[in-house]
Amino acid sequence: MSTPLKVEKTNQPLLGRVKTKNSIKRIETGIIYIVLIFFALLYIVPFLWLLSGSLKSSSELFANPPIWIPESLQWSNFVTAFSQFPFLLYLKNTLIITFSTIIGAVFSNSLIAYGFSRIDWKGRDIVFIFVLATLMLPFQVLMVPLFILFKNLGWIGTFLPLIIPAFFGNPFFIFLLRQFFLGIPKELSESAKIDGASELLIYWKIILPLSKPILTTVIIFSFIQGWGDFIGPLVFLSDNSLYTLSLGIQQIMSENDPRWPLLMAVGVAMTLPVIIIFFILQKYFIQGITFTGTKG
Amino acid sequence: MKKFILLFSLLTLCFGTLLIGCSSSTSTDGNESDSQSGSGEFTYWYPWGGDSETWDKWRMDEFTKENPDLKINAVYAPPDGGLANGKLLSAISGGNPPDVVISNDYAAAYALAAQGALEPLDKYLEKEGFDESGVLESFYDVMKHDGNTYLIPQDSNVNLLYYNVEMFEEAGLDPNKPPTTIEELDEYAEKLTKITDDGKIDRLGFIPWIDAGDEAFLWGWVFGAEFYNPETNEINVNDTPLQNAYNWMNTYAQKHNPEKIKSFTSGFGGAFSPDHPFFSGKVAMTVNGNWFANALSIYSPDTEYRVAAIPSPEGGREKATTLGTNVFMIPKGAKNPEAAIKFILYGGQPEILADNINVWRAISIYKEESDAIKWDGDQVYDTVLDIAASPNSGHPALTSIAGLLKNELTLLRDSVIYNDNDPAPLLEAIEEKLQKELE
Repeated sequence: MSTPLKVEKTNQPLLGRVKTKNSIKRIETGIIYIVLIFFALLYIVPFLWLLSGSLKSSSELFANPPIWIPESLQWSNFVTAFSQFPFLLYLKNTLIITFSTIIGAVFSNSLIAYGFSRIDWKGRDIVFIFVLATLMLPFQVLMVPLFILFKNLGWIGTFLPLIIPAFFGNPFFIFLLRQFFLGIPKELSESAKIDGASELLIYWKIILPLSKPILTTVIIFSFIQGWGDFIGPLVFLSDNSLYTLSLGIQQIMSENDPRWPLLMAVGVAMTLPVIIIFFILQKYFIQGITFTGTKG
Repeated sequence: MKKFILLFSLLTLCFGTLLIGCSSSTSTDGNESDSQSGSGEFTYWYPWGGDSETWDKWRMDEFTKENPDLKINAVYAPPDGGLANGKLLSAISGGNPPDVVISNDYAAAYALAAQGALEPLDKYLEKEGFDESGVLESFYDVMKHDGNTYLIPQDSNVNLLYYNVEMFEEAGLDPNKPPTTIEELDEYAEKLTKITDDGKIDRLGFIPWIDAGDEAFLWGWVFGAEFYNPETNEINVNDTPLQNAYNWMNTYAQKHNPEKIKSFTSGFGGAFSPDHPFFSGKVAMTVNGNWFANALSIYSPDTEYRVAAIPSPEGGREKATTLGTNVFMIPKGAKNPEAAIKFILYGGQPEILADNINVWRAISIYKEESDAIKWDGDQVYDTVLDIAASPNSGHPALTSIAGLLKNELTLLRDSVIYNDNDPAPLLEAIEEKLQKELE
């Protein structure tokens, strides 16, 4: 007799507790969203300023207090900016370099990382540390020796010095991919081996399909690197007709007048593809970051 | 597996074709030059884009019209002819240098000459019949190192004191009598300064460290500092003129509270914006280059201004400026220096530079005046010419470590004006540090 009563007594506060818990959760989510929105705005403000600046006149650009929406939109900034240098030619050059480096980065780094993570060999980790150590060498230190090397190969003044190195591994990408590959259960490879698969087949048929998120991350990073590289094309190219967009931006500046609105117009044109690529691949990209974060 | 091998082979094939395409599209490496003396091709690196590049292309066209047997491979090398970012150094070390480079950083170019990376030009100049006595004496220092000529200036910019006529009159000062000494400058600045009743800065008569005053060597040079002694190869910054220059700047900082000045100047725009303090009336006097007159005509055409030589202290350099000179150089290993020198001498003629000079009021390096220059009777240009011809104007700190010295002196200045530090021990420390670096 007393049992149902007890249930009734205990049920009431339980419902209340659930309700309170739900509302606390809602408040928590709300706070998280507010913080996220705040940071998202913080990050998007520079881009919005770039966008607004690209449509302003010089006088509006430096107005104090700042003007966000220009009185009349100066679309002519884009027209003038693109006529200052051969935009389409530079775009073509940039795309050739960028997409070639992406192909190189994806194939070479994944293959190298496979060797560092899925195959046991003597001294593997020591070699890996050496590979990582090369991250500490700044480009300025390597510039002259690389130039001499490429000169002797007859590559100076061509795209080759900007593309071929991507086919020989990048320590950061190797590290990123290795950490991801280490998280893939060994059993998958072992069972494939029992079925007679070679390492190359396992890499191609098992590891790569499972690594889409991290490969997307490598693609995005590699794209950003190739797309915005300034010093590489500057040093290794010696013909204006081979130059890239990052050099084109600089070419807008006169000796005495930097012409900021035009610079911002090209800045927008150069940033948009990066944003578009990120939005297309963001699902995989976020997954890649999460995986390497938790399993690294 | 077969699929993989097939895909890999296909990719490699496509890629190989692409690379061959890339490489064959430019069979030369861009720096290939004809070694026949004074004919054939030569490679020219220039640092500017925009209108300056358009002008330079016009100059190249004019040159090739007059020298049809010569072809120029023009390469854009930002931001200073590839000096600061290592493009030029890599090309010289790799044995693939251009034939001629023009740079807007004469100090870095001079450092290259001191390091032996440039070709001495005397024999080529002699062959072309170049007469050095036609060049203004203020340029001799930057042209020569150890008695040899390494750099040929194209043109130059001087720094001037710009002052607002209306504000002068309002403060009871005679616009026809600009300050000539530091004492007068201080006195005028005081009279032109406006502080509101609640202690806020409304206008400052003068701020020594904005615009060209921000340049590391300018005030030290005007105060009489030597910075570097080329004969003894000694850094010479721990001396009275430099200490006086920093102590003088500090009087401005302490008079109005450096933080207050900082917040006052934080809203200032650059020279090519209508928010520049001289345009918006936030400062009554400022030190800036000759090109600033053109910025004034674009962004603040209604401002009535005049210019004068930078005021100097007793024992300092009267009517002096540090020169902002664009210099030509021929790197060691250049394949066609004869053609390069022809271009250098052609490109520096006042008639060729006229278009540039007629906009920016830059100066040619030659003593002889040219009819192509339209600034006859212009108050700004007369002052510019006067200052450029002054024996006190020059290129300070012509040493291989000029860049380092510049950075150290800028840090020191900030430490003096923002922390009220004594410059003497700081200068002593810099001198010791950089002397070691130099040796």
